[in-house]
Amino acid sequence: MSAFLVLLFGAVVVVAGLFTVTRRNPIHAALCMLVALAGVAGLMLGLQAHFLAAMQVLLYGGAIMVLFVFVIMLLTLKDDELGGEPSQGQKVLAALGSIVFLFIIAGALSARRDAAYHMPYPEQVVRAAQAEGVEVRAGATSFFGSTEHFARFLYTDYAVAFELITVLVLASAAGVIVLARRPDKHTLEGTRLTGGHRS
Amino acid sequence: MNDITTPDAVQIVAAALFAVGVFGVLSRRNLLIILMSVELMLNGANLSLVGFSREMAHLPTGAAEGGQVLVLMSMAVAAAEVAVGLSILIALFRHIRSVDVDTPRATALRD
Repeated sequence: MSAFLVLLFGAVVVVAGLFTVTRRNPIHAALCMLVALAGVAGLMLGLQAHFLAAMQVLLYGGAIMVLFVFVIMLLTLKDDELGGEPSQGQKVLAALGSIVFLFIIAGALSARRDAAYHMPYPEQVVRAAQAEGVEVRAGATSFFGSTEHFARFLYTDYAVAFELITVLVLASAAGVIVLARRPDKHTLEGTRLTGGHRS
Repeated sequence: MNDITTPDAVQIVAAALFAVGVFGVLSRRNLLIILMSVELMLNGANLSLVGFSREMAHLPTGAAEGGQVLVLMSMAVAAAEVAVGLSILIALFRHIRSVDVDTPRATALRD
């Protein structure tokens, strides 16, 4: 992926992101965020992260966006419920803060040595290894970033982290039930999920 | 365009996306938009990780694959975070009838 293409996609992502944080209507903001997320998925596709690009579309563009739109539709906020806007000075200070952050990153990038992408095609690597008499293990021809290559690492080296993620998701599901239920009602017959902090 | 390398361009875009998220968190009072800005920041960090992972892809150490696995983990954490964050938002809305985190009624909850 050429630098020009990255910057082109990046411009789409950043402009959509700016629209996201400046729209007053939350639905408009959500739709602009969808564009930004799709742009990031495109960038990931160009960076040999095919599986992650698919996950970006499914998880962010699907699951997380649906949650946001669902809550926006559930609340159907009127204008006075949306809240006020911060003062102009606060906005200027916020912009200054984020620009300073951007310059710090740009300074750090200019200090590092010229980075470049090296990626021989897997067929070339395998052919070179076979020419040297090296035994090639199964799956060596899978592309970096492909689902096969990704899963090989996810379910071997990082299996514990993968299992712990399931615990995290379970904990968050329990947390959502506790947080979002009405505190003064018995949700399950005869049982209270928390001590009645409102009674 | 020729004086910037692709890896640096990716990092610049990732940092810009993160900066947009920082701006959103600092400059808005609507909790929904603040949560969206946090999502943008997470996306910037993910993009940075994918870019660095791509730079390491020629090394046989497995560092590049580790970077991609880390991005998947951060996506799962983001999904959990949004679910909890939005339910906190609903609980807040039930209390103060607004999603503005700076109204007198919201700030009164601190006491």
